[in-house]
Amino acid sequence: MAPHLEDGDTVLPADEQALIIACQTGDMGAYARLVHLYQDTALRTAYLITNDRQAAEDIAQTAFLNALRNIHRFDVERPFRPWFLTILTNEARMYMRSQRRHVSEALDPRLPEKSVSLVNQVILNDERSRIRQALAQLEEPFRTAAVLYYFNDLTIEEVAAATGCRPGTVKSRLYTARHRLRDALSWPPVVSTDHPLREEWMVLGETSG
Amino acid sequence: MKPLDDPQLRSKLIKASSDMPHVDVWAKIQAEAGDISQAAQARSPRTRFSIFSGLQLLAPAFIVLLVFGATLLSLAEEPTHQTQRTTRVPSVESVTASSPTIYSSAVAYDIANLTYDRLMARYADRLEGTPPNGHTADSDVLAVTYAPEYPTSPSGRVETRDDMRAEWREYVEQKQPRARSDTLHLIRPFLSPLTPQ
Repeated sequence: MAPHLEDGDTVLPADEQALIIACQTGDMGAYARLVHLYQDTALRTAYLITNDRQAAEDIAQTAFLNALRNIHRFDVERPFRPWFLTILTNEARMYMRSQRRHVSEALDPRLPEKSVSLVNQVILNDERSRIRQALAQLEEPFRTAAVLYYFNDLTIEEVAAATGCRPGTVKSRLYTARHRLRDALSWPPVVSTDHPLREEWMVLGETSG
Repeated sequence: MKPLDDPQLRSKLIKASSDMPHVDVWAKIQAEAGDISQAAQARSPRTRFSIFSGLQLLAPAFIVLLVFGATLLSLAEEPTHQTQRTTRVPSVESVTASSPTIYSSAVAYDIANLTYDRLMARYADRLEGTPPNGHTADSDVLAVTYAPEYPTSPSGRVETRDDMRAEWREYVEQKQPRARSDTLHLIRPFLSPLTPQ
C-alpha cells in the first residue's frame, strides 16, 4: 500500500520506493502523491531553465506524463529524483531548441529588457529578475548544469546522466557557469566611483541577500 | 566586490524561482495519466502471459493444427474392406523378376490398399514403358491363383479369373470414378486375358 504523504513532506527513500512500486502496479493514487511531491521542484527547475512560466508549466506536465509512461521500467533501487529530473531536463531542452530563443532575450514580461540600464534594475530592487537575467545570459548547457547542480543538489554524475554528457564536461560547464554568474550577481556592480547612484547601490548591496 | 560561493549561488537560484506560482499539476494531467496507466496495464507482462490470454493466443494455433490433422487424415490411405494384411507385402521395386506371380500379387495388393494418387505415383513409369522389374505389361496381370499371399477380390469371395478381373475393375473404378480413364489405363494390363504361365 502506498504511504500517506502530505504536500511538502520530506519523503524517506523507503516511502518513495513504496510509492513507485504502487505506481508500477497501476495505482494512480500513488502517482498522484508522487506528482504532488515533485511538482514544485519540476516547475521551478523548468522555470529557471526556460525563464518562462507558461513553458515551465507545460514542461512539468509533459515530464510527469513521460515519467508515468516509463515508470514500469524504473529500477526502484535507484533514487527517483535524478531519473525524473533527467526527463524534465530533456523536455526543457527540447523546448528551448524548438523556440530557438537567444539566450539573452527576456521572455518574462516582468524581466527588464536587455537595453534597460543597470540603474533601473537596481532601483526596482528586483533581485530575482537580476538572477534570472544572469541565468538567461548563459548558454543552455551551462544554465542547465548550474540549475541541476546548485538548485536541485544533484551530483556531478547525476547531472552528467541528466544532460547526456561526461562528468568532466559537467565540471567544465559548472566552472564556466559559476564564474559568469558570480560576475553577474556579485554586489556591488562594477561602476565608476563618481557614478551619481553609487552610494544608493552601496546601501542596497548591504541589505540584499 | 563580494564573490558568491556555492551556497550563495544556490540561495540565489532558489530566490530566482520563488515567484513561480504554485500549480496543481496533477489536476491538469489526471485524465491523460489515467489513459496511460490503463494502456500500460494492458501491455504488462502479467496480463500478457495470464492463462486466459495464453489460451486466447493458442486457440488459433489449435484450430490450425486440428484442420491440418484432419487434412492429413483425409489424405491418408483409405481403409479397404479387406482384412488388413499383417505380413509385409514387398513393394513393386523389391520384387524380383523371377516370379511374376509374386509381382502380380504385390500389384494387386497395391490396387486394393493404396489411394489412387499413390497408385498412380507408384506405377506411373509403367504407363510409359518397360516396367522397372523388366516385366512386360502382359505379364503384369492379376494372378488368379489361390496362393495365400494373394489378396482376395474386393468382395472377399473366391472368384474365377474373369469374375475377379471384373470385380477388380469395378472396384478401381469406384475408387476414382472421375479418373476412370486413367485408372483403366493403369489396370489394363491386369484386365487383359491372362497369359498362360
